[in-house]
Amino acid sequence: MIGYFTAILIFVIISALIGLALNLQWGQAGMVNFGIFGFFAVGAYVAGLAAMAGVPTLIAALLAVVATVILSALVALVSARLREDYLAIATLAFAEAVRLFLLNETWLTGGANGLPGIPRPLSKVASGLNYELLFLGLSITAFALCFAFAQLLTVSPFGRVLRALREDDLVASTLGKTTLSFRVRAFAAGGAIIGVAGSLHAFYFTYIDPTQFGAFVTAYAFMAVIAGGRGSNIGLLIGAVSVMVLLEGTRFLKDFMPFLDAGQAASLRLILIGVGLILLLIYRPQGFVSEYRLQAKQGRE
Amino acid sequence: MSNPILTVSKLRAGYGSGGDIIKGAGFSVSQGAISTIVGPNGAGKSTLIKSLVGLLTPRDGTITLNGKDVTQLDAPAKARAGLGYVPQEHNVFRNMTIGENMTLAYEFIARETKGLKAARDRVFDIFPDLAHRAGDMAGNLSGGQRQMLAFGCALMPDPSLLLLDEPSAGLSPKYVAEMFQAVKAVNQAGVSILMIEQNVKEAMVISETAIVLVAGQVRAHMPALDFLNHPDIHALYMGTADVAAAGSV
Amino acid sequence: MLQLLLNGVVSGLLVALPAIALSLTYGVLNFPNFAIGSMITMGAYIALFFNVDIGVPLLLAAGLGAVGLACVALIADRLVYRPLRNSDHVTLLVASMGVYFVLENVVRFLWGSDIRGYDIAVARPHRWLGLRVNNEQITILIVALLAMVAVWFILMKTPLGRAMRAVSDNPDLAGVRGINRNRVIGAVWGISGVLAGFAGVLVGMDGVIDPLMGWNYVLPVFAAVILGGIGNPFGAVIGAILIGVAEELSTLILPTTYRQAVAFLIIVLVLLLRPHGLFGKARISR
Repeated sequence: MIGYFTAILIFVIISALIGLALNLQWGQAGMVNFGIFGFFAVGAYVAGLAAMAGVPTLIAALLAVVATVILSALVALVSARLREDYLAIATLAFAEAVRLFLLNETWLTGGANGLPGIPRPLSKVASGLNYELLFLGLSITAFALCFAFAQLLTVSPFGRVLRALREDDLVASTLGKTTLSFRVRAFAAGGAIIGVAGSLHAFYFTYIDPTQFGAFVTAYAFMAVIAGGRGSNIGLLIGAVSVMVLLEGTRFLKDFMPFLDAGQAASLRLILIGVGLILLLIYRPQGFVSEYRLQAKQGRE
Repeated sequence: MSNPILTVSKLRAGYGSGGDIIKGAGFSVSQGAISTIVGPNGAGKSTLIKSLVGLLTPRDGTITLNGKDVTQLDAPAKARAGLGYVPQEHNVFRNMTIGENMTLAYEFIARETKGLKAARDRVFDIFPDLAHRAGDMAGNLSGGQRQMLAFGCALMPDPSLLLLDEPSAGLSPKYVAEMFQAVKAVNQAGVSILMIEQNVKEAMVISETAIVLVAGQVRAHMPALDFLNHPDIHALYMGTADVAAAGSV
Repeated sequence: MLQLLLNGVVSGLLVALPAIALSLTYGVLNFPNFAIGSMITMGAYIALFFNVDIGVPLLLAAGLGAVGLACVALIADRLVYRPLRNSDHVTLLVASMGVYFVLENVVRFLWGSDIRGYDIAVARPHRWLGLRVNNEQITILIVALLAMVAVWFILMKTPLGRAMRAVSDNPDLAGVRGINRNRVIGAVWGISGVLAGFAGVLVGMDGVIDPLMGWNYVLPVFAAVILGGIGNPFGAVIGAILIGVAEELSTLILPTTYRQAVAFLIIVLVLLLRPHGLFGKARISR
């Protein structure tokens, strides 16, 4: 049972990291990232490949962060000036391109078969349940660092400028280059956190393949951010935990409906994710912990 | 004063979760008359017109058109009840031809097509310029021509009351005169008119009634001639503290 | 070379139908409907159900698929998009992602994840002037052209079409002109559903039917719409054909597995060089 809870907690931390990144990119800077799963995949694959090549795991994780930061900055540079819906399309297109690359460059990524046997950090120190607990400790540390980083950015003048740019398109367009630079940096900062999440994912599962990085990752992240109240890091934490608890709860659906086969149970869970996301948008658009209102901009319509 | 075609009482309106912008305004428009709303910037003139035409649902109060309560109707229903509206900007569909704009202005309000040709001819009589350009894209028209088209479109379904939001705004002097002439002509053909106008003097010359809106409330409701001859017209129009004090409730 | 061009035009026409659907909803509702991929999938499966499980001829099954999908689109509008009508467009596009999850997984739930196919006879390709043309390609050509003519007629020649263009250009003015926005939106969803439904059947005829078939079209469809200029259905058709041809020609220099990356490249290039598309004028930066 402890093992199960440890695993759940690690899932929660990984998805909370992704939520944290989206909260920075979308919540603070107003940049819709529908391609989170692509950046997440890049983080996981870079960390996994580097570790498999014998690079120490901490360095592998750093390489993953560097890769996601660079790619995030590039994507933002191309698209940061676009309206939200175009940004969503551009980031989604990027993630799909990543997926194609992972599927087709078999020599590097193992294609659809994925990468098995990724080394874990500190694997000699402990084993079995103890290792799980150690990994949990590592994840908590990583999360604490990322959370502090995000919180610092949020309360710093940088965060204030971001929110001002998000709220006022006129100011944003007048500032032109400055706006672009702020948005690129915010997007890259989010990318760094996704890189950490990707590394943890690769190290924890020791096996990664392209199906783990689907659009559902984006849906989770949006649910967590919306449930937590867009823009608030503490709210995000609460949102991520409650969303994961709900989603994990749906795993038990199968026990109540034994007539479903495994595939049906899995698709029912994804249906519930979709329904949950929609219900959240309709009934709780400001989240359970409201700090910034999602509808702030429609006030004058 | 003859029967009012429009009666507004204790109207309250505002946007989103913001406070009231129209704060209990009340006035009436006489059948067959031209009435003009004047007031300083920020008095709530546009908000008032939006809530009259149904683009903004009033929070409180009543709007009666032709003796019928239309307060809660949306814009399409108000249009069918006989309310025509010419917005100040974005008042034609730019990616449609003049002809299409006019057809569209008729078909969804009249809900038939038999009278379309007659309506079109009627509008062409008032704005002959539109007749020989029916195939042109509305987006290619000059500001003045566009204003004429918007005016013509509002007339297509033969409304009983026409609301004009700053009909002369942004027009060259030549078009301003033409526009006021058109307003007068339309009125003489039997359409009651309520307009917001910045060219106060020109507007008052053709109006019967002046309605002074200050800070979301009607501060004065008087014959246009009195308004023109009022010693404090400038103060009234600018809405200085003086007037606000004099008229405050 | 000519063969590639022909194949490209045909696969472009496959993209064109959902691209028109996306463009129509984009114009009238002002958000990109990310559920378009799963709408294609669902259309294919509804037709599959009638064709294979019930035994209806494919042509009729395709029609039923299109009508069925139109109903699905209307239900989604009533339950999801209408309650969110006054929300900002980010909320709507996130909601459409939720709809995508629901639809794709309803398909998996009802029909499983196996690869399926329609009940059609495999015929030898025809040969004309050295070009190889198979029956599926001819069907795609005819259905896509008919659908495009129908959409053109509705948009340009009927009151409904005028109302659609009006709401898309200026919703407030359309309301003042007596147009009921919700009814127009309903009609747009219905038409989009029909188009996506037919597209699903054509995609299924051309390749295979599986729950991911529509997702693979999301990028080319968005690329076509962006290339043609948002909210411009005819631009979207041209965009779709250009993308089909570009994808086909890319196989000359790229491995075929990277065909889909062409759509990504086109999106990036358009956003960098001409973000309002080839034929659009909309303000898309902020």
